[in-house]
Amino acid sequence: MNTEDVTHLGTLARIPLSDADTAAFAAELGTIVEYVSAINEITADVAVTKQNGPVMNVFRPDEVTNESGACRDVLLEAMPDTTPAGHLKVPRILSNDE
Amino acid sequence: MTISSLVDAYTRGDTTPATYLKEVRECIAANDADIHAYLETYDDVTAPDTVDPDAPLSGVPLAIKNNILIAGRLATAASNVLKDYTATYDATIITRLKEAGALFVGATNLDEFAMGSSTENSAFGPTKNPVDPSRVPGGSSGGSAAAVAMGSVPAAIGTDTGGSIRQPASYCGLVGLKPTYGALSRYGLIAMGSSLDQAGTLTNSVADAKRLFTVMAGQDPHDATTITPDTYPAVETRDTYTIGVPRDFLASGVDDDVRDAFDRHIEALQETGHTVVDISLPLFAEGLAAYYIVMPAEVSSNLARYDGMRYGTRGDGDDLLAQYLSARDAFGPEVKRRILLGTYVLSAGYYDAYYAKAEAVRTLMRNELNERFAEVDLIVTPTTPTPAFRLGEVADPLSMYRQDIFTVPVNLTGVPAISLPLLSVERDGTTLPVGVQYIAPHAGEERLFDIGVRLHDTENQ
Repeated sequence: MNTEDVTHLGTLARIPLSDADTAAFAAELGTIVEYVSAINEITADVAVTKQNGPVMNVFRPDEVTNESGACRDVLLEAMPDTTPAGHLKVPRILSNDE
Repeated sequence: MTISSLVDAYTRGDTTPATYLKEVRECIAANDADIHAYLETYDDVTAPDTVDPDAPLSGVPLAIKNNILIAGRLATAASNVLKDYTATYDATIITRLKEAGALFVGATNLDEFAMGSSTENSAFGPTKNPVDPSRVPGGSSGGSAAAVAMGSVPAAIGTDTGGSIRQPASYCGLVGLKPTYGALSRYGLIAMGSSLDQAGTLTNSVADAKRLFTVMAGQDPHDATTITPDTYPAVETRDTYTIGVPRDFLASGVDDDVRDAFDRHIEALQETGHTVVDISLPLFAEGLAAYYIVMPAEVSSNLARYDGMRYGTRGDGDDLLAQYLSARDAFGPEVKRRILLGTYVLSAGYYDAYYAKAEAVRTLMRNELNERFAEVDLIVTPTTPTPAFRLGEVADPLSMYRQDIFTVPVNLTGVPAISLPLLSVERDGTTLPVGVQYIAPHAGEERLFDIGVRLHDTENQ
C-alpha cells in the first residue's frame, strides 16, 4: 500500500490526513493487509456468513407503539444545530452561483 | 465483594444500600485519581431506603462502560467525537438492570469506540491495572475491569467484540462473560462490529455473572437478532464434562509461563473427574486474520454516521464536505486506522478477495466448531497469550491485535465464553493473574456457569 492509496481511502472515508499521517498509515496498513491476506490460502467454497446466527422473520402486530412527537424535543436537544421551528440545520448543499 | 454476599448482607441487616453506596464513593475518591477507571461518577444517584426482596439487584451498585446508553447521561465512547453527547434513551440492558433494582454509580473508561486491547486508546487518558498500576488493565472494557478489581463496585457491565470483556478479566483477575450472540439485546450499545458485538459482565464470581446475565438476557423487539429459548438446541449440564484442548491452536505465540500454568490447570481438571481430549481447530488460527477484515469493514460502515450533523460536535468549515472532514478529524489514530482498513477491504476490486473471503472462512469456522462440539462439551484455552503488559509496551498495531488471538474466534462464530481467573504468573516480583477461557456451544451459558462455579466459586468461598 502506498501513500496515494491511503490518500484515496481517506477521501472515500471522509478522514482528513496530514502528510505524516498518510506515510504512517501506508506502512501500518500495508503490514496489516499482508497479515490478513493469509486467509486467501484457505479454500472456502461455501456460503458466506451474512448473519451471526440463524435468520428468521421477526413479526409484531402492525400497531403504532410510540406516541407521535414523544421523542421530538429530546432528539432536537441532542442535535448540534437546530432552528426555532424544530428543524435540524445543515449547511447549504446547492448554490445559485454555479 | 460479590453481589451475592452484598445481597446477603442487606438481607441480614449487616449493612444498608445507603451505607454501601457511601463506601463505594469513598473507594472511588481514594483510588480513582491513580487508576482512572471512571470517566464520570453519578453523584446524584441515591440508594433506596429499603431492599426489595423480589428484585435481584436491589441496591446493588454497578459501573457501566461508557458505550452503553443511559438516558440523560453522557455517552462518549471515550471519543472526542461524542465528548458532549447525552444519551436520549436507555439501552435495553440498562432498562432491565434498573428494573432489577441496580444503582449505576458511574461510567467507565474504554478504548475509543471499544477499539483496542489496553484502554490506552481512550481520548481521555488510559486506565491502569489495579493489580499493578504500571500495567494496562486490558481493553476495551478496561475501565469496567479496573472498577471491579480496585474494589469500588462488586460488578461492572462491558461489551465484547473480539475479547473486550474476557481479555481485561484475564489481566485484572476477574470473571468475564461474553454471552451467545443475540442472548443480550444490542439496542442502545454504540455499535462497533454489529455482527460481533455483545454486552456482558465483569464480576468477582461466576454466580454473579449468572445473576446479571439472567436479568439482562432475553428477546427484545428493538433488536431483531436477539434469540429465543428455542433458537438453538438445549445445552445440558452434566456431572462431568468432556473438555477439548485445541493443541494446534495453542502451539505458538503463548508465553512459556502461561503455557506451564495452563498445562497444570488441565492436569488438575483430569484429577477432578473430567475427561480431557486433544482436538484440532485448524481454522481458528486463521480467525484473527478473518476478524481483522470483518471487524474493520463493519467499523467503517457503522462509524460513517459520525459526521457531526445530527449529533456529536459540528465541524468547522464553509461547506458540507469541509464540516464532515473537520468533525471526523476528531477520531483518534486507532479508529482512523480501522475505518481506513475497512474502507480498503470493502472497496471495488478488493471486496471478493478480503471481505467475501473472510465471511466464507467464518462459515467454515462455524462448521468446524459445530463438528468439535459433537465430540466435546466444552473447549478450553488460555484467555490471553500473556499476562498484562506495561503501559506503552505494545506500540505496534499488529502486536496489539495478537492479544486477541484466543478470543476473536468466539465472536466470529457467535458462541458464548467465560474467562475464569485460575492462572497466575510471576513478573518482576509481582504475581499477575491470567484467565482460562471456557467456550460452550451456542446458548450454552448454563454449562459455562456450571463448570465455572465448580472450578472457581467453590474454590474461592
